[in-house]
Amino acid sequence: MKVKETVSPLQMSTLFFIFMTGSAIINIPGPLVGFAKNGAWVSLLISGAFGFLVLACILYLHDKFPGSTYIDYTKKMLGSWVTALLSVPFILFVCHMASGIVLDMGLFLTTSMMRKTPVFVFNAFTFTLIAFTVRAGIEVMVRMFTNLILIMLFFVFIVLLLSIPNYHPDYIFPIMPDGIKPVMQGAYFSFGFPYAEAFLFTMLLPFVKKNPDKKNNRLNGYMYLALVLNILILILSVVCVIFVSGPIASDIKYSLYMVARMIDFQDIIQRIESVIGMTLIAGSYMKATIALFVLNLVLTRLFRLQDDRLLIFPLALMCLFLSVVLYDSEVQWYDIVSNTWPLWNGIAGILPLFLLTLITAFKGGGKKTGSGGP
Amino acid sequence: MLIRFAIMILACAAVLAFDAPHYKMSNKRGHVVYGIIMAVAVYLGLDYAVGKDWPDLHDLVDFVFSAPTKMIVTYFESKS
Repeated sequence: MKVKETVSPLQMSTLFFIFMTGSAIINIPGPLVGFAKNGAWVSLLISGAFGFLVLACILYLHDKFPGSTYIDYTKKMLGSWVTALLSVPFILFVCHMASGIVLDMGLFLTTSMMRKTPVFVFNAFTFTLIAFTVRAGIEVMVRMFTNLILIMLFFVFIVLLLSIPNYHPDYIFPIMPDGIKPVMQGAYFSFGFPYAEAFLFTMLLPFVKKNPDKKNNRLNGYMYLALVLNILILILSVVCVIFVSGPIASDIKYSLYMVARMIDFQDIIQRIESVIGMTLIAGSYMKATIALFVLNLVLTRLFRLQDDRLLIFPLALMCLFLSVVLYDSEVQWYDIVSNTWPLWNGIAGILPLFLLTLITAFKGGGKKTGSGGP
Repeated sequence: MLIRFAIMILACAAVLAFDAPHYKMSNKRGHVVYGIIMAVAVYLGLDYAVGKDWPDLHDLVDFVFSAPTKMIVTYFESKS
């Protein structure tokens, strides 16, 4: 099966940036401050460093197997049966991710704005939109998401700027009052969400236009730049949240939402938290779309289906129902996202990725010309 | 519960109606994979409709990862 759509290296790195930043910028600050307190930004530096390692492995494998997806080169290096075995946790993880992202968005809307509306309503509309977006293809996704992320970042920066009168820079001290362990716990959490999730891009890099000029490989540079920007933006939002609310930031789930609520500029600009609400919805929508796209692609490649759009709607339906049955209680949901998710992520995606990288490095596998690829 | 059943049936019917032309043009392997995914979707839909908290992905993840997760969290929360 050939991939008909291609994107430029810059577009792929934009998609990567969107995936890593989209929902993290709203969801990360509160829980991260809860774990690491004033050292939350240090946690992001540590987990970001691991993110670089993950990205390096992804780009190394892409370089060794140009035009091939994770499924393709795993089959080549490890055989079909091991690929099928490794694909099971991968597929389950991506299902869980897509459902969890939309569920989180639905919970935000039902807890903060429309309390009487069943969460199924929000999830159903969101998954319908996601399914149609995935169906439109990666080129359409990238073009649309580039506009959305620019608008998102614009609003986030406006909120952070208008919050300057509420900042107390002294709240950042002391940085590690309880030692290194809370910071490491924060790094464990932020590694699971979003840095370890980057392994999904092992399925998307083959969509990058082939570069005939091997000396000028811009994709790697753009991807690393996207990761650096992501780390900087997340650190900025975490630090600003700490400046505004100090240690109580951990008690508020959507800290940036709370920060926006406190803005009161010249009695004209007030209560603009709905802007952050829109940002959360847009970010979650984009990330869940990418997750569903990858899920569809994995199954299509694994079973060598001819029609790459056949499974989109049943997968969206399955993830929709999963999103409404996943949630039992606030405590259980918080436990999954904060504590279990990094380990689940590590086992499903990072460990096979590292294993494959090591095997490829030792075996010297892969060809310079794209074979077995789209 | 009836409303949830109706929603579930409506959602499944909409997906099947939309995908019917693609399903017909697909090969046997496509039919099998499509059928499996729809079966899982129907199971989860029934779980949603009856509201009895049947086993799902979360229970599997919890079963596999709860013990090592507790160890990791206990280590982080212990005093240095």
